[in-house]
Amino acid sequence: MQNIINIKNLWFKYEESSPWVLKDIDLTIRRGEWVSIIGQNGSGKTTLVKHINGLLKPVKGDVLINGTNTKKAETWELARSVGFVFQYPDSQIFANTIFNEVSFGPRNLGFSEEEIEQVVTSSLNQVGLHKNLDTKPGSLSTGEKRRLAIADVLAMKPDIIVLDEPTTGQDESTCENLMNIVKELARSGKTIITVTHDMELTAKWSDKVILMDLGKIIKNATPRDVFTDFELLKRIEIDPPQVALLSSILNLPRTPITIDDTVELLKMWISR
Amino acid sequence: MAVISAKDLTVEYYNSGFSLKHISFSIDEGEIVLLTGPSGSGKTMLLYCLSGVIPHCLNMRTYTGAVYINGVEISKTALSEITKMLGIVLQNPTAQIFGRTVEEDMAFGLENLCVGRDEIKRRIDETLKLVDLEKYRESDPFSLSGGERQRVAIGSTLVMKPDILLLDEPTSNLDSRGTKGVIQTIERLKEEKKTVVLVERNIEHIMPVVDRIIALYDGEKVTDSKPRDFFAKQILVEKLGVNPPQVVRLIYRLRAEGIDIKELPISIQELYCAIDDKREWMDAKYYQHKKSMVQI
Repeated sequence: MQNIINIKNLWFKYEESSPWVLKDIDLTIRRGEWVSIIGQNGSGKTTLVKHINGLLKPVKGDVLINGTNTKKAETWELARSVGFVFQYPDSQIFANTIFNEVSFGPRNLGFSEEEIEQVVTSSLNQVGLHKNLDTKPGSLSTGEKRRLAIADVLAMKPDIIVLDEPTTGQDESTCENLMNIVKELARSGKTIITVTHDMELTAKWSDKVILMDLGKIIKNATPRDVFTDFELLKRIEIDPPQVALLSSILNLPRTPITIDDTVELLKMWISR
Repeated sequence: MAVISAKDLTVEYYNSGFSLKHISFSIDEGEIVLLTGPSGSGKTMLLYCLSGVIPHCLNMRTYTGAVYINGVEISKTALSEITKMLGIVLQNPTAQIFGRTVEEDMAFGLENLCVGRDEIKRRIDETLKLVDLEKYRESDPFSLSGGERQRVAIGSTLVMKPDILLLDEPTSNLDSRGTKGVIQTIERLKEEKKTVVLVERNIEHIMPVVDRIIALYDGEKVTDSKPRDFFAKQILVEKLGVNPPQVVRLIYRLRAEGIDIKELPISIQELYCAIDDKREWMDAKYYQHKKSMVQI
C-alpha cells in the first residue's frame, strides 16, 4: 500500500520559550490503514494530528500529506484531503439546521447543489442520524452531535479522517455501528486515524497502534504487540483491555486482547 | 437518611419535546449513584433537575412533581441556597472554567461567599492536592490538557465543600492516569460521607466505587439496582446500550456459547478471585470432568 502520510523528524513547540511538545517524530501511514494514537493526556497526540491537517506546522522537520508538504499548503487545501472530527462536537457544530451544518463543508469546496444534497443525505445515513434536515443541532443529544460532526467530515469526502476520541458520548451499540462504518471507510481506501483513551476500541479496530509519551513515539506496532508489552504499559500507566490480564492467570497460549479472541481461547482452554 | 429525592418528577423542554416522565427515587447520604442509559435518555436532564439548573436557569414547558435536597424543595429555593448544598461538574469542563489561573478559578466561588483569605488558601491547597494539580496552581487553565481542565472543574466545585456532588461524565476526557485520579477522589469523598451522583459511560473503571445504578430510557426510570443485579439483567443492559465492564461482556459471550457462569463477576479482580476459588464459578458443560487436568 502507498504511504499517504510521511512525517520526518518533526519537532514542535507552541512558543519559542516553551518546551518541545513533539520530539523527533518519524512516522509513515499507509492508505486504507486504521491507526490509533494512544498515550496519556499531554503526551502530544492531539498536537501530532493537528500537524496532519495543517492546523499546526512543524517548527523543525516535514509533514507530507499525499506528497504535499503541509508547510507549502494552505489549511483549506489540506481540508480536501484530511477531515478532522474534534473531541467536543460543540467545537465543530455551528449551523442552525442539520442540512446547513453538513452542507457547509462541501459547499465551501465548490460542490454543486445536486452533489451537496446527495452527500448530505448519504453522510447522515452513514452515521445513522435519521433526523429531519431542519432539526436544530442544538436539540441533539451529545452522542447525536458526535455523529453529526462525523457526517460533516464525511460530506467532504476526504482521503484521511482523523477522529479525536470518537467514542465519547456514544452508547455501545451506536459506537459499534459507527466503528463498523469507519471500518468500511478504511476498506474503501480511506485512512483512519483515531486519537483515543479507549483501549478496547484500539485493540479491536486498529491495524496499527502508535503509543506516545512525553512528545515521543515510544512504540509503533500492531495492537497485539502493544497490549502484550505489559512492562511498557505499566511504566506509562496505561491499562490494557481487561481480558489481556487473564492470560497470565489462566496460562493461556497467547494473550487475548479482544472478547472474541478471549472466548476462542477459553473454549480451547476449557476443552483441553 | 435521604439527602436527594425525586417525587413523580415530570419535566419537558420547550421545542424539542424531550421530557422526563414520572421519575421517583431517593438517595441516601454517602451513596455513590450512577445514572445511565442511552444517548438522549434524559441522564443529563435529570442531573440538571437535581442541581436546580432546571427549573431555575432553564424555562420548561412542563415541570411537575418535585426534587428535594436535604428535605428542601429545590424549585421553591433560591439557587444561591442550593449551591451551598451541592456542586455540579459539567461534561465539557471548558464551559465552566473562566479563571486566568487555576488558583483564581478555584477561589472564585469562595470569594463570592466572602470566605477569608487564609481559609481560601487552605482550601485551595487541600483541593489542589486532592485533584493532583499542585504544580499547575499558577497556570492558565486553558493551557492545560483536556483531562487537567476536567480536574480544574472538579476542583473548583470541591473547594466549595458541597455535601452532594453531581458529575456529568467526569472521566470522559481523561486518560487512565486522570481516570484513576478521579476515582480516588470519589473514594475519598465516599469516606467523608459525601453523596455523589454521576453520569458516566466509562463504567468499567468507575464500577468499583458505585453503590447503585439508576437507568433511564426515553425519559423514564427503568431500573434502580445494585451493579451486580443490574448487569445480571443482560437483555435490559443491551436494550439500554450501556457498555458494561469488559469482564461482564465476556461472561455474556461465554453464556451465549453455552458456558454457564453462576456468579457474575463485575470486575477483573472478582474474576481473579472466582478463578482462585478453584473456578467453581465456571459451570461449563464440558469443563467439569476435565477440571483436574487444568493447571493454573
